[in-house]
Parts: sequence; C-alpha cells; structure tokens
Amino acid sequence: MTVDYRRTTLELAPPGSQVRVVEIRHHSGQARRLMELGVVPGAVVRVVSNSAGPVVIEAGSARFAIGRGLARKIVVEVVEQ
Amino acid sequence: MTRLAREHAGTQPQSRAREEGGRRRVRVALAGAPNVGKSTLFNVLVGARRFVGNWPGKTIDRYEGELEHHGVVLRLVDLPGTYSLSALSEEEVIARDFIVHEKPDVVVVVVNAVSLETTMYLALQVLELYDRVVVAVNKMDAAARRGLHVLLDRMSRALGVPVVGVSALRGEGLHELIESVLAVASGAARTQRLRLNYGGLAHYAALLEGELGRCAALRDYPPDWAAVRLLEGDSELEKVLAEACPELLEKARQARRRAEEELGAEPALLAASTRYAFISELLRSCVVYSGVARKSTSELLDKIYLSRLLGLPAALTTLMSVVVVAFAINTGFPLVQILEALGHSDLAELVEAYTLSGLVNAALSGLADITASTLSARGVSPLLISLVTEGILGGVGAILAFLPLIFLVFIFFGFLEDTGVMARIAVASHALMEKVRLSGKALLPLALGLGCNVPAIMGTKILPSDKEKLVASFVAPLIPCQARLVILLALATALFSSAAAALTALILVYLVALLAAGILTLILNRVIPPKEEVPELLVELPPYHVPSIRVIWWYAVDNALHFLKKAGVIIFLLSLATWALLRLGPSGYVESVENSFAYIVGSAVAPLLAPIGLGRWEIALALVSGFIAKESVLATLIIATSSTSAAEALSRLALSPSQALTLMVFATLYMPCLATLATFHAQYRRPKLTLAFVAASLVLAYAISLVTYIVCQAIPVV
Ligand SMILES: Nc1nc2c(ncn2[C@@H]2O[C@H](COP(=O)(O)OP(=O)(O)O)[C@@H](O)[C@H]2O)c(=O)[nH]1
Repeated sequence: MTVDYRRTTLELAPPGSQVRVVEIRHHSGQARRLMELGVVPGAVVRVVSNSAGPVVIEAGSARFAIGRGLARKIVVEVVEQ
Repeated sequence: MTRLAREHAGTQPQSRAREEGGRRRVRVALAGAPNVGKSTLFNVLVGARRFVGNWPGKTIDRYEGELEHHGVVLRLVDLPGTYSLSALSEEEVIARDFIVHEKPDVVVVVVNAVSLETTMYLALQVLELYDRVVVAVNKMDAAARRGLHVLLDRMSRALGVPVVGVSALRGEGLHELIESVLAVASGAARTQRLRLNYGGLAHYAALLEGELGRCAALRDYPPDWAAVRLLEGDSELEKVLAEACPELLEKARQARRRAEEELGAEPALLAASTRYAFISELLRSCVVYSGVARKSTSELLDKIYLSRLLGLPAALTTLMSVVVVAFAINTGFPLVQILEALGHSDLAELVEAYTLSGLVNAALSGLADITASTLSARGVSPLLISLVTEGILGGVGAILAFLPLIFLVFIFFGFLEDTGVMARIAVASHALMEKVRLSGKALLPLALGLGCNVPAIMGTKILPSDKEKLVASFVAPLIPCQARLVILLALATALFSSAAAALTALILVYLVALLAAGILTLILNRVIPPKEEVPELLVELPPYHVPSIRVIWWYAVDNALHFLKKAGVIIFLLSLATWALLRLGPSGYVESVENSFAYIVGSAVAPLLAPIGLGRWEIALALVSGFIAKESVLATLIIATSSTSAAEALSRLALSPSQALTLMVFATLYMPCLATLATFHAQYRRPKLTLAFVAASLVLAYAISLVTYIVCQAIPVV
C-alpha cells in the first residue's frame, strides 16, 4: 500500500484548499454535531482560513470554526490546493 | 435503564413509551404539509433502516423506519403529506386517524421556515388535536440565507410544545430534535394541547361538547375539538355519529345551522379564519426579516475577528465597549466619575439622577415615602408600616431594581447575537478560555456578568455541554457585577485618600476577582465529571446581519420575563426574610438594628471575620444585608455606624488600608446576591447544588480575603 501524501488532518490543511473528509477520530457530542453540520466522511469542504486559532471551513454555504483540538482529529485528503 | 423523566419538579410522569426486550421504544409520527422536506428528514433520521408497506386498506405507501439514540429505539412513521387534517382526502384521513387512534408517543410536525404562512396551518391542526407534539422548523439554512429569523423559543412558548430548528438537507439540529422528542415522550418536557379562542363559535361548541360526551364512539377524540369540527361540518366525524349515535348527528347539524344563522357566517369559514388569525399573529411575533450584510463587509469583519493577531483584541474591545455602554446607561459609570474628577460635581449628580438605576430608585423611594406617610396618617402600627414599605415594597423593589439592568444586558447580548458578531467573539477568545478549560463561547456569559450576574447565569444555556454550563454558572458570581462596582467605587474613594490609590485598589480587586474565577474554574473542571472532557470549539459562523430591532427587543423582553417568572417569587420571599432579620428582634419589631436578629447574627459572625481583619459587627451586619443586593452593604454600614455618608461610616470604623482592601475583596467575592442565587436555583432546581454554589463562593471569598489581608500586611507600602 502506498502512503497517500495528500492525506493529512484538517489542522494542517492549507488555507484556500478543498479537502475531502476521510475520517473523524473523535467520539463526543461535538463530533456528532460536526456530522450534523454536514462534515461527514466523503464530504468536500473548503478551508477558508487556518492560521493560529480555530480552523474556519465552508461546507455548502455555511461557515464553521473548528477548534484545533477537534481539527486534529479530522482526517482529510486535499482535493485541490 | 435510565429515564429522562422527572427533570422538572411537578411534572406528571406521563411516559407511555413502552419497553420491549429491555429497550425503551418510542413511537413517533412525522406529519407535515407537502414539500416541507419531511421525506428528506425521515431519510436522514432513519438512514437504511426503513421499510415500505401499505396503509391498511389504502393504496398509499406507508414508510416506517427506526433509529436508535442512547439505547432508546425510535420507531418513525412517515404520515402522508397533507395541508390539513379536515379528512377531505384519503391522505388526510390516514394522517388524522393515525394520530387519533394509534396515539403515537410523539407527533413531530414539520414546517418550512421559508414558507411558514402556508405550512403552519397543518401544525396548528395537529396541535389542536394532540398534546404530545414537537414542531420541527425545517430549511433553517435557506431561511438564514434570506435573512429570515425564526424565534424558536418564543414560538415554543406560544404553542406550548418544543419548537426545534432543523435543516434536513444539511443534517443540522437533528440531535436536538431527537432530544426534544424523547423529552416529550418521557414527560420531562410538559406539553399541552393548543386551545384557540373561536370567539362567537365557542359558545355553540361548548353546548355541543356537553352532548358529545354521551357518544362512546367519539372517546378517542378530544371533545372540544370534535365539537368545533362538527360545527364546521366534518364528514368523517359525521360518519361516526351516523353509525353510533344518530340522534347526536341531528343535534350537531342543528347546532351548525343555528350558529350559521345567528353568527351570519358559515362556521367552517369562521373557524378557518380564527386559525389563520392565530397563525399570522404568531408569525408576526416570531419571524423577522432583516437584510444580510454585504459580502465585502463580512469578509473585512471576518479578516479582523478571525485574524491571529487582531482577533482577541478586537473581540475583547467589542465586549468591553458593549459593557461600558450598558454601565453608562444604567449607573452613569464612568461618565459620572469623569465629571466629578473634572470638578463638575453638580453635572455629575444630574447625570446620575437620569440613569436607569437613578430613575428606578427615585420612583421606588418616592413610592415608599408616600405609602409610609399615608399609612402613618391612618395610625397604622410601625411594624405594619415597615412591613409594607420596607419588606413588601422592598421585595418588589429588589425585583424591579434588577429588571432594567437585566433587560439592558440582554439588549446588548441580543445585538451581538443577532449581528453574528457573537460567534466571532467566541472563536477569537477560544485560545484564551481554553487555558481554564472552557470554550470560547463561555466568555460571553461571563462578560455579561460584569453587568449583572443574573443574565450571566441565564446566558450559560448557550454552552455546548452540561458540564460547561454548570462550571460557568458556578463561576459567574465571582465576576464583579455593576452593583459591586458601585460599592467598590464608594469604598475605594472613601478609604484611600488619593485618587491614584483608589484606582489602583479598584483594579486590584477586579484582578483578584478574575483570578479567583480562573482558579475556581480549574478546580471545578477537576471535580465535575466527566473529568477528562476538554471543551472543543465548534461554532457556526452565520452571515453578518443587519441587526433587527424587533428581534433584539423580543429577545430582551422574553428573557426579562423569564427571569421574573422563574426567580421573582424566590427573590421576593428571600428579601422578606431579610427584612424580618433586620426589623425584628427578640422583643418584636425594632427601630434600631442593634436590637434586631440581624445584629445577633452579625455579632455571631463577626469573630469569624476577625482573621481577615474584619471582625466588627457593623461589617458583619452590612455583609448579611448585602445579600439582598450588594448595594445594601453601604447603606447598612451607614445605618449601623449612625453616620450620614459612606465616607463618614468608614472613617468611624477606622479601617487600615489593608483592612480596607480586604473588605473590598470580600464584599466582591462573598455570596452571590439573592437574584443570582434565585436564578441559579431556578435553572438547576437541585437544592444541594444551590447550597454547594453558596458554600463555594463563601469558602473562596474567605480564603482569598485571608491571603489578601496577610499579603497586604506584609507589604509595607500598603
Ligand atoms: N434548503 C433546504 N432545502 C431542503 C431541506 N430539506 C428539504 N429540502 C428540499 O425541499 C424539497 C422538498 O423535500 P421533500 O423531502 O421531498 O419534501 P416532502 O414533500 O415534505 O417530503 C427538496 O427539494 C429538498 O431538497 C433543508 O433543510 N434545507
């Protein structure tokens, strides 16, 4: 099996990129909320900003801010830089 | 097996949810007008666990599905989409019969947020027919994009059932919807059938209702509902009557003819217009349209609030400006102080008199004076006069005095929320709040606490986890509210000769209070389960809105009324009790506090305060009376020392600077005031928790004052 170099976590996804959610490694109320918001495995979201604070993503027409701790547990692959 | 029931005191456990094979099952029917997104909702809820069948004897498909939530199995039945329950079409008959005869544990009515006018009619019909209902307002995403606000809480109160905003398409709000369904099924959320006022028609309906009781075939239908329906000419009900109670059918038809003749209009028309009038009134008060901010403005604001460097300063500046404006309107701070410092003390007095609290106080004391003189002119005993003017009016005053401030704080809070700025503040301050293991959202209620602790505790409702709500509510009273700012200002200016020293002391006390809040948060996070829970930030960033005055106004009114309803009685009773403490003594009614029970309590408590340098009965007494409202600390000190001003009272007590600072610290931290305590209790309704709440603040206040006192004495400068 080859290592997919595009695979990373949301925390490290570059701003402006489109990423596809692969897995959410977190089990809590907030992870469930994420799924309710449409951030589910397979969904493609856009990373709006990602500097020091929370990661801001756009899913559909809605924007969310996700804390870094939570973002670290969301495995994504970059679809488009 | 856990039960969700009995959360609310006085709730009749009406759980009908059955248990099968050790698991609780809840039967839920999904109703809604066509095109509201009901199928979408059904499908996202049950996923693959769905079965298609037929409605008995009908050609229409019957969809059922299951989902599991925390060990409870919800069995969903998707009723046919209909605009009404008049039983005019096959679909309507199915939907209505299912609700009436199968009596599901909960009926979820789906309405469309974008076209509530048309989709609400069905919801109303279901609500009139059935009590265990949850309204799901779907397509909230589309509504938000168009700048439509649906005030769910308000709608929920008007309809008497939970109202939840969802977006089936985006899967939002499903969790809350399921929780509401379970709460209604278990009886934890009390719901009731909606009863509309049918005006002239009501009279005929009432007459008919009495007769309908005799027909056993109608027992599944609420009698008042059936009566109105029969007046409208409901063919299904008539069919039932024709078979089971033909003589009643004739009566019903007669009643309809009479109503039509005497009211001069068809009953069906009157009933429908009553329902539409109700809906338009409901929507007028629960839905608001406001423009969405321009894209460029949104981008610019987000660049600031979400930036790494500017985010936190911008968020704190926004919050602080809001708090200062609220201060200025309520007590004139810092305007009054600035005017005084510039030597315009007459102007300062004028400003103070026209602040919100100045006006309320003037009105209240005016009322008390008039009452006192009227009563004494009639020779009423001093005990009774005191009871009425100080006890009862004082109690009412204690509530009224809080109301404007609470209202004001909610106006500003509503403003931040409605514009969308609040979500950004939560994001920007998350890194800061994480240090004490709270999420960025917690900063908002705590910042409200600078204005008043009551809205701070009420505001913790927005926090995502139960633990975080509890921690924030516990910590909120440590934030010095405005009432304490007033005392601190008075104490500081009276106790320290130079303005610079007074200001330093003031800032020091605020810092100590914030430090105490931080420490308590860390401790609570260690002791309240689940201990390993780390707050994770997940905030939706709604589009920036032009704020709608109506939304903000309603938000503030609703919250202020909520406060009155929930905490009013407790506040009133507690302030009566405090009055009794101050005005009654072993010898009955007393004029001077030195003979009162409060004095006895004060002297008993005084030795306890000796280690922190405050072992004086006057101070102890002042602290006891400060429970009603922290402002009373000063008033009581003045009375107890027979002085005329705060400065005189304090000079008579001859406190050293370190004692003075300790008094400021202790007065700030000790004991949440009565309104805060009442609000806390109303929110959690667990007496032990309320006691722990009081104990925690007393212990913490004592410990920190002790440290302050020792440190101050050790430092020669102070
Ligand atoms: N914007 C938005 N559209 C939705 C939502 N839920 C459903 N829809 C759309 O509304 C339309 C009707 O949905 P459907 O489930 O067929 O409605 P039903 O007739 O009530 O079963 C479809 O085009 C859905 O995509 C939602 O939450 N948001």
